[in-house]
Amino acid sequence: MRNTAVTTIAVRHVGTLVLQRLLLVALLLALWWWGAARVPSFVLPGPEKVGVALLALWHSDTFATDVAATCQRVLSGFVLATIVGSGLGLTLGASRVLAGFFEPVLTLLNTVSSAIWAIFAIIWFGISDATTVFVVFMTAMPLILTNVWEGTKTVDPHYVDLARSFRMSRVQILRKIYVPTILPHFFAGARLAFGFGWRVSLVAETIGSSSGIGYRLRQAADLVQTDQVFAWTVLLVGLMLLLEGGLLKPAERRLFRWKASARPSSTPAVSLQA
Amino acid sequence: MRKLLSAAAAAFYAYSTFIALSYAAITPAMASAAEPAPTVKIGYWTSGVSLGYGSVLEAKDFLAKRGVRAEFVHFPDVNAPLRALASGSIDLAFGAPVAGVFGTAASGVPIRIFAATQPADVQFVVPKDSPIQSIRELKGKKVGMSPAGSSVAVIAGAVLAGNYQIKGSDFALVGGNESRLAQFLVQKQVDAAALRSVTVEQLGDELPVRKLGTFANEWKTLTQSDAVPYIGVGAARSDLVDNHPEVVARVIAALRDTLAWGNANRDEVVQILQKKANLPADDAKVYVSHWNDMNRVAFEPADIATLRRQHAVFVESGLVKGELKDDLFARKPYEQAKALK
Amino acid sequence: MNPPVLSAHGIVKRFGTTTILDRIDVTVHRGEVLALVGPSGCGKSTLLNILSGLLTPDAGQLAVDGVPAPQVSDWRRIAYMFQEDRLLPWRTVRDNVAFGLEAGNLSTSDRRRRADDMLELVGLHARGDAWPHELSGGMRSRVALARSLAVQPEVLLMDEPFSKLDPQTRSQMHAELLRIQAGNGMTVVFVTHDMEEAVVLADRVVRLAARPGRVADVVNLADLVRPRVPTEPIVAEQVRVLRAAA
Repeated sequence: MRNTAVTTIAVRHVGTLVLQRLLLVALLLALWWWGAARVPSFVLPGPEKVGVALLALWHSDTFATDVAATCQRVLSGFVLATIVGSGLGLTLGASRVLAGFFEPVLTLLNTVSSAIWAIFAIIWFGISDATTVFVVFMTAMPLILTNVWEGTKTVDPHYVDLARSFRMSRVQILRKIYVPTILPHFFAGARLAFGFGWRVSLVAETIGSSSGIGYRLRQAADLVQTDQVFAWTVLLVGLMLLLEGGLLKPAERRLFRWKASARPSSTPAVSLQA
Repeated sequence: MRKLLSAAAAAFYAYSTFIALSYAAITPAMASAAEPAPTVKIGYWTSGVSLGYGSVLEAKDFLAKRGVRAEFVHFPDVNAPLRALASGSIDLAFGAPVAGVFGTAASGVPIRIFAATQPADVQFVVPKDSPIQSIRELKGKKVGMSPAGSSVAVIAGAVLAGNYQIKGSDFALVGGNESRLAQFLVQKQVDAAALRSVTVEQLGDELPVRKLGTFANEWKTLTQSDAVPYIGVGAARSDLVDNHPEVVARVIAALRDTLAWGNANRDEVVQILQKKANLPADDAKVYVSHWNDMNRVAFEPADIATLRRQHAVFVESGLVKGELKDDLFARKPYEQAKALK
Repeated sequence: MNPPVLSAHGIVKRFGTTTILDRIDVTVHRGEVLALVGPSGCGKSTLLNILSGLLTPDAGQLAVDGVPAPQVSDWRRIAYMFQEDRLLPWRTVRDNVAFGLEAGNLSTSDRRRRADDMLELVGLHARGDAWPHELSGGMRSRVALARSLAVQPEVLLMDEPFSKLDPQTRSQMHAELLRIQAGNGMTVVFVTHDMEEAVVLADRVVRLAARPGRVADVVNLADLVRPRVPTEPIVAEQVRVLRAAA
């Protein structure tokens, strides 16, 4: 009986959400249309123009290669950042001496903006994949490092002692206690890193590559093809939303079901009788 | 507890160092793999003026027909080909910005000019409803153009100073690319702008402007001659020009072929542009209609004199320092190319 | 005559300059329930740690079934239950119970089965898929007990395992523990500051004095009939005697 009540409430909740989102999209489109009618199309192209440009892009010869190139660079930089950032995060967690010694370097890394990394990358790697990968790496790595490091600090010695009391080996303790403790922190860092990594990859591509989405954005802007610039932007936003909603959020939900989240008021509290 | 972390960290560390080192090892290795001598690395900016010409050069096999094996590198911004020439990542750029070439050569980088390729097809424009009626009235106004240091900016400065006594300090230079300049005009953030003719025609009714004058005419007035200033030249590494002038000659011949073919097959050029740069049909057609105004392959004494004059102007405006060395202009390949039919 | 399952002789432990344990002798007989009581600071938890083999004393010998500690290889016969339930929040109740088994050689399905059996034993078989945060304090204690029992230890060492529970739950847990112990003949050594708990559960009580920690006396409660209801005069009297001696 309680289950049907909860289900109905859940369905209504989802329905309201979908309606809200649709309304928001409609509102934004209307605003866009109104704005575009008032200025020349090369300053603000209207939704129909952008839609046409998007379709044209989709069917163009180089679309797939450009998108693939950018995705490949972002992924490479991200994977490298994950490996190096996690390793260094664990190192700093393990040695207080090293942590204290290298902390200023970390602050420095976090302060240097990706635009500066892009300039260095061009000088060192020229027009190549390495330029973009480097910029993504330098942006993502400190984020992952910091989060993993923080994660090591949160490992509960009680749980480690528990594992020791069951005579578990060092490797087992690492796998069964450290990894689950650090994982949420790593995930938070990785999510941030991925988002930032995407953004900076475009910046790097506009000055440091001969292919990819950033390169095309730049070319379109230079050739006064503003509707194409918008089309690429819409595409990127769509891609990001897809990744977030289709991959990252469900993964997060699955991995961290165990966290005691604030329950919605529709569910009555469970009786706490022992 | 710390011992455990150390163990894990050590493992990760070793692994990550390995990954990082192998990546670092691979990248330069791929870049510096031994290349067979006859291949010429040609680079160009896949936008602006070079886009159309470069696309055709790449798409058609004029270079191959002349026996030149070419490798093309695309750059996302206008000055990148020049930097690549200086660092040796490319051997030849057919549309290198002339101001940059002078500056780079003056600082000792071994490059030579082998042809004048991109005339300045630029106009001074004002919004249609502007009270400004002539270039003279630009004194004290905001004028948008390519950023300071670019060929356009220096030429504009030269003609304004030379023909109208409007010095650099007498007007405000607002820098930007074509997109930005058009936007500034529409939003009345500048009083006038120096725009490429292609841009003005491409935007058409969306950018209502009135032409005050052209770079070509102003330069003719300034120099009391029929010369037209250049914004782009063909430049190559000195060792290529000096040691293999016949290769450069063949490249020049191929450039000539491209120019002729593009002129005769405008529709096909439009198609190529649509495919290579996602340009919509209308814009591509506008672009191609300016083919002969934007592209050239010339190195006659008159052209060299124009370039010398430009250099003098650049030195005067403080953009370039130093003497113009005579060997900057490599005439031999061009003469050799004349023999190739 | 079989050697005692645990025998500690001349145990000394210092932390810095403080001597926590000063030449402690304790013998634990197989199958008995032994209580370690004493005021705070008397080192009873430290002693329990040493008995488990997890902490090395600064002096003295520990033997398990007559085998000196350094030569013991199968420490897994001795299970340790902490004061807090220490349930891993990222594992379900069942996976928590199976945790200790993962150090051994059982297959996944065997571990699962054993965990379910243990949960049944402590009366939580319906909550196998729940998350620790969904359970009450008493339930969590029971899960911790199930976890310790899952490895089928010969000796169960418990450090104030029921101190955080309300009195009613605590009595229930006492009954549970005695029932299980009677069923499998496990040796139990537990630390408590609650005299009543000691009297209800233990066959013998080792009373420690503090600063430095040393054995004050050992009281044998074997004559006290089970079940021992705290309100009964005999039991209450014993508790009073023990409390007065402290």
